[in-house]
Amino acid sequence: MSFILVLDGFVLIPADDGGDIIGLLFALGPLVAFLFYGATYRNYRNHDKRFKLEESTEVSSKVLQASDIFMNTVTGASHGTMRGANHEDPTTRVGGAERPRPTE
Amino acid sequence: MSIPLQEEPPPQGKPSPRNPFDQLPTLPGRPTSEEKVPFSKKGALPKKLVNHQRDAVAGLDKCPRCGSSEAEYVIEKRALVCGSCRHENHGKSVGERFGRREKLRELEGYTASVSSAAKISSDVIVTVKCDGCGAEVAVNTAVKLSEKCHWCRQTLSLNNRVPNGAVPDGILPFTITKAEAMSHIRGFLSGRWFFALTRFKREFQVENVYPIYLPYTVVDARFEGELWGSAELHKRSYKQGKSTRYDYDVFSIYRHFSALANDVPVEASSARQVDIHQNTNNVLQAVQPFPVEHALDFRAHYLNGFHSERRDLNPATIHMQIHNQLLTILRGQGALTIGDYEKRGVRWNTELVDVEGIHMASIYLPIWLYSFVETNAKVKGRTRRQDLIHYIAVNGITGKTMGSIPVNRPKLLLFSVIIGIVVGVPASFIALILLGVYPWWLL
Repeated sequence: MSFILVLDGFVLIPADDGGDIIGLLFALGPLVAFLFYGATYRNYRNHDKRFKLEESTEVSSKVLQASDIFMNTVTGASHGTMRGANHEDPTTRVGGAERPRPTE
Repeated sequence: MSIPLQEEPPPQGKPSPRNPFDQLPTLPGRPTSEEKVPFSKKGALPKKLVNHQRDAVAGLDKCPRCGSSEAEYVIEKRALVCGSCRHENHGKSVGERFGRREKLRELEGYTASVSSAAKISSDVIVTVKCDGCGAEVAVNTAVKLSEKCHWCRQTLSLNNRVPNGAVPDGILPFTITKAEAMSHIRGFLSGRWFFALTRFKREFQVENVYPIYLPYTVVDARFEGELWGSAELHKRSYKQGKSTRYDYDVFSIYRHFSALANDVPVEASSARQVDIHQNTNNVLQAVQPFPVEHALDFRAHYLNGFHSERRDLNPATIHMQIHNQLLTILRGQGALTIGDYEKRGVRWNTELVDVEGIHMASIYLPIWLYSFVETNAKVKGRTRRQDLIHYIAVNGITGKTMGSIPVNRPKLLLFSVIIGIVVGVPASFIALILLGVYPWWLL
């Protein structure tokens, strides 16, 4: 972090080696306010709550076929997680699937 | 649990000279010959009709002891109690007739119920359309001549009668009493009161909670599913300067499942479809699951004193919702097979469900509902403010409670800023001291 914007004082301060901690201290107030608003609103509205069908439904399954084909190795990536990963979001439909056809 | 694999595709139904659906009158709740059953890529599934309501006469049931047609469901007794002789009828379990659990492996083709061809008798139940929110609400006019909509609390007019919905195959009667439901709602609100909208707090009367039956289609399915995607396998992470760098392998992955799914609930009312940006219907789903294996044969008397939502989506027209539910289940199964990929993640890009056998039954499920209309609410994606109906729902069997409480946004914003200042000023003070700047102007 090279510069830190202090919202309640509107001061730009150059960061040094301890800049991460000092920056965090300056950002703590706005961060706490933002998190408090978001968490409280979510706790009241519960718009993220849903029935976890994939966990609650009684399902017995068997893997008929599975394959894992190595493609390539990536080194020095800056992201710790996969971009666009959707394994934790089973309700969002992905494109490209052959949909069942309405046939007689 | 392993499943015997099916080497041959399911037998295709031979086109019969007379489709059995054509022999039934045209009523809501049953597929017609024009409607396709598009569940299988191998072609349409052979259709079967079963009758889960062999001896039911919707709305005209009589007491087996005295012959009286007056009866109502008493939650405390968990029975239909005759109005004349007080005989208690505990009902028959519909699950035994369905026999779904045992026959799940043998499911083949498309099985729907013909019981839904009959309409609920208008002698007992009248369905009216709400002027306020457009919901089609079934009410018992023998008990009350005026009634309020359980969704928006608008007074219903009997002039707006619409045909009654189709008879469901089963009903799961309430076991949670009104007092218990009120207690659950009070408990839910205990930590959600301070920032609630002022008008909500002023008008809140927990006694206005309504017992309603919501129409669901419960689906059992035997299907195969396929998933294609990319996965990344973490190898190592290391520091490079100030930032962390990661090395990983990329894989192309494929999974093919055979699966049996039991009692998948699907909304059978178009008005209750979930859109978290436009309505709060998600809280109605969030109180699931229901123990549908305890459902009883439907009798219209169960609706006496209770509200119900009219079922306006029949099994043939909700195939896309069912398809979506099965894809969600498939993805849930896929997530169980990703192992070490979980650390970085998997991006599924193709999913396919191929149904081999499916059984659908329509069931009324019980919910205690409290509603509140927030006028001029700010709704995401809409430029103009609109009315938003908030619900607090209590599962009528398990008591699980969920709700959406309208928020007093200015008050919440003010308190957030105050908390931010209370935390931020001392933190900034410490930060300035660490920087060697004595913040005398803060004192």
